[in-house]
Amino acid sequence: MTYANPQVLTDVEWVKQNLGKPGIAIIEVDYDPKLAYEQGHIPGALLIDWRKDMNKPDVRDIIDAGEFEKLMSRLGISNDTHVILYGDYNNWFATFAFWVFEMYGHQKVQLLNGGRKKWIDSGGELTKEVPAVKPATYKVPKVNYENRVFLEDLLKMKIADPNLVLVDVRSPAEYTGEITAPPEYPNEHAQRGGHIPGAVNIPWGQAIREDGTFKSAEELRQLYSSKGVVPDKRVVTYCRIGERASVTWFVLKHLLGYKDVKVYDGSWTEWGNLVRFPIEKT
Amino acid sequence: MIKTSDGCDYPDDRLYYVDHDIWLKPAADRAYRVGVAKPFLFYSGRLSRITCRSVGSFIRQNTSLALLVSSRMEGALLTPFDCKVTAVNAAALSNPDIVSEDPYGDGWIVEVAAEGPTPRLLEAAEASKAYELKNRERGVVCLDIVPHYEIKVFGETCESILSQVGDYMRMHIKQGETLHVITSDPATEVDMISWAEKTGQGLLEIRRVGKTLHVLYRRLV
Repeated sequence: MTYANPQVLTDVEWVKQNLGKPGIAIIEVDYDPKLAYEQGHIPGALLIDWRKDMNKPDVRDIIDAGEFEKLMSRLGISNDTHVILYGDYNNWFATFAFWVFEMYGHQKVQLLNGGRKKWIDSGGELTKEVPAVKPATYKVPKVNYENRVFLEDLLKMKIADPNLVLVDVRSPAEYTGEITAPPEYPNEHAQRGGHIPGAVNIPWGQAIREDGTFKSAEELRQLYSSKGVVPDKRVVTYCRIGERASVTWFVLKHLLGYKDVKVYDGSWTEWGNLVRFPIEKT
Repeated sequence: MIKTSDGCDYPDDRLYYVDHDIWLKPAADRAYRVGVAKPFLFYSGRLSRITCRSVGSFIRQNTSLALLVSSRMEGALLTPFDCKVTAVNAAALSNPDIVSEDPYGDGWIVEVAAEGPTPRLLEAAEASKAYELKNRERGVVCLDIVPHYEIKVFGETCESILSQVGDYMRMHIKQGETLHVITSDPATEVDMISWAEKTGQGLLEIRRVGKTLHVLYRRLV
């Protein structure tokens, strides 16, 4: 059994062989560029600072199509550029970026399997040099919302669709409400701890090997189907702010080929702050 | 040993390559023992996992000798010259705490033999000056121990800072573990001290650097 869409992944060896080739843009997507990109990155890699570049500064939302076009232009990426994403924190934010690239219809985008960690671990070269960029023109062909769900629609789905399964991909301690954020994010909490009623807990990391790469298709199929997350279900993944949820979305949608998988990026920092919303702790 | 005003220290029996935050201790002709310089641990926090390239492998300049992972960082130990790995510190690999606790001694990472031209490596006197500037620019301080966790609280009132510290300690920190609080509130110092007394938590260190206050607590109760 192989991955459903193997073309969404690339590996360290391929990137090493193709460094500097025209038409390819490698982008490091970091939550904390100071501790990652600025300490050394893949030669020629561009930077997306997740907080600043992927999110709107005022409203809580990801950037819109126009802002995505501006970002791509600034990074010198055109519609036909082959984009390779990787990043810090186990590729969480790179995978979130992948989800955004897909939303805005970028044709050729891949995730570097294992991310920054695997690159360093495999002896990949690092540099502190920031590449010079020639701005390009970029046009979002069409916005595709099928991978995203907002609170309002989630509530309707929860009532109307018995086929819906919610996957909470946070740690068990977050799922039971013992903590409201992982320790490395002290300032991003919700008012209450716990999970959305009915959600099953399959921490994102269970899909990942020790070296940061994805488990085999067979192992993944086993993992999710044993918890009732099967291909004919309608699946919604969530975490705290949406980044880890995008990792599980990537696994289900692209590695296992499930048809209907969405990220609820409002996630726990939305649900856990709502007044009079039901919460489960077990 | 040279100690700078930011609390970092640099033994003078070895050389440094400041760009990569490493020290290199000459062992024999063109052979070095290599480890991380103190400021690196400010960025990384306590290390949780270390993997090394295997003994005998040839490592090109600016590629990694080791991967150093903490809860917030996937960092690299880069070699400033082409080299061959001649030994790895198995003790540090199986227990990364050794590196956090004794980065200049038992917490060395690898030994290498240089195979190409080496760039200029700095003596402790020169390296400490370069680091002092770099550390000031980046707000780096070295505390007596490398804390398990870090929390930054800026632009809030003292009560709010302390309630956040209390919450954080209750939720994330086990007894015996340490928390580094970084704050910009100038009026906080006295309250930080009395908070520890009131709650029975340990206050290990308090240090003001520029406009920033660094406080190190240990969870006791």
